[in-house]
Amino acid sequence: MLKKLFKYEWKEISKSLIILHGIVLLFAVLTRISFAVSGGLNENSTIAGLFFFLSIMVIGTAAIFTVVFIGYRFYKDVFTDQGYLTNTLPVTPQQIIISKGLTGILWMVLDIIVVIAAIFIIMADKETFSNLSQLMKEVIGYLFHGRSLLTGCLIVATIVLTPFVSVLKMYVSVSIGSLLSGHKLLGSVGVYAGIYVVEQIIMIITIAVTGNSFISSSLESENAWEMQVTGVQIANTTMIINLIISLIIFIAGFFVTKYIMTKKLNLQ
Amino acid sequence: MSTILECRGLTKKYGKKQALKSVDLDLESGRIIGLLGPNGSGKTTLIKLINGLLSPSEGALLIAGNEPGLKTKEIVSYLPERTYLNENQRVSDVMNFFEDFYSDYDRSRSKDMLERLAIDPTARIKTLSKGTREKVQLILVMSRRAKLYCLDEPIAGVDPAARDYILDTIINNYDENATILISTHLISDVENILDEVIFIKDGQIRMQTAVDDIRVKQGKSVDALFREVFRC
Repeated sequence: MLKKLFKYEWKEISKSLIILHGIVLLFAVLTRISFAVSGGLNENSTIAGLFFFLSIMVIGTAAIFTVVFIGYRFYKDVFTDQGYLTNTLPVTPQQIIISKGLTGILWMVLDIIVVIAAIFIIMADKETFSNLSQLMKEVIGYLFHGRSLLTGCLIVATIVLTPFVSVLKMYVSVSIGSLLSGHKLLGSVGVYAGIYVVEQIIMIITIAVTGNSFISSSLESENAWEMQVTGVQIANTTMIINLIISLIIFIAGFFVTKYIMTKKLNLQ
Repeated sequence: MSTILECRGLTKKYGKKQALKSVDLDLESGRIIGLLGPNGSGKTTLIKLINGLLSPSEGALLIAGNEPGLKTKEIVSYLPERTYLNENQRVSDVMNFFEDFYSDYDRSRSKDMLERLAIDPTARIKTLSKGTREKVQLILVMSRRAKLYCLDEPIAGVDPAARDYILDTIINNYDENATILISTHLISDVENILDEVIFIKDGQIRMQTAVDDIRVKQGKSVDALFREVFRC
């Protein structure tokens, strides 16, 4: 059943998002062509400038729309009239969350790939590629070597976990918002904002506390190497705390969403 | 005959308001049962509880011995009082969807009924009138070979000709081992097809009796008795 749910959700969500991301790539290509015709961005190339501006707008819109659409699809399918069908299918709430969540995560990844591809189409040339591959080698060499290995692993874990947490954060916000008798969407946005604010407060406190203790201990040595080590330690601690918060949101988000769909469904 | 639905002390509260008050109810298999009551009497709440769209505040509800969940959703076919179809899909897409998810869905039944009503399976839902959408939904629901059908106000929003068609559809697709629970306040339209009636008012069951008993023992029609019981 999970496979079937995924198939239908993928088909449904992709209709709009394929068109939107196709437009992103189309604008990128048009911008590139206009750059080629006018010899790049300069004061005489109004059309190239216009296309460049529009491309940036379309890329931004696509990125925001993708995230919002993933949350809205969940709301519409589970908590509006269509929920009368979704919630009476012979499937479990967790199967619904997982199938929709996976399609959402895949589209978040696809969105990032398309945005990067669009930026490359607009900007990249041979030199960019060789510079970039050189830069990537240096960054990877630095991050996954010796003392920085932990930082490298934490960055990768953060990147991998981000789309999972983003999707579950939206699902739990929508689920809690649906408990209201009216203004459910507005309530969902409020819950999302609330989670975000709490996250940020915890992060600021973490950075302040860890930063203060590391800096005060390293100031005594006044050694440049130790100062650098302190910077890495602050970054690592911050990322670890961020990962813990993200994992809590991910796990709690899943179980709270499942609980609401099982025990507190409130279709009116 | 076995019991398909059991409710014991079933209560549903919305905040301070009690929509169902300690309902005790048993429904036997192989019956067409009218759940009759005025607006706001608790009919839809009971049907939503059966379908797991609401959770009881107190008490228990069992369908073929199971609480509402995965197992019961496999055997209950539900027609809500609103349209749940995705407007961007074609009728045939929804048929594929039902075929994929419900093992008891009989596609040939749907095809026959659509043909008889001259509904184009390739038409998009959004191009259909409200009445036609309701018919499509009823066709899909009645094309399942379910153990319990819950039809919430299946004739409320359609014209009298369509009402006859809908009731014919219900009768013609009725499997003698299945139970059909029809919620409505349009008593006179449905009373000829009912075996049994449940009168519900203010969240409480006022009466559960066989239609024949009302006609033979009391010498009344269901409609007349309903008007008597629910006189304002």
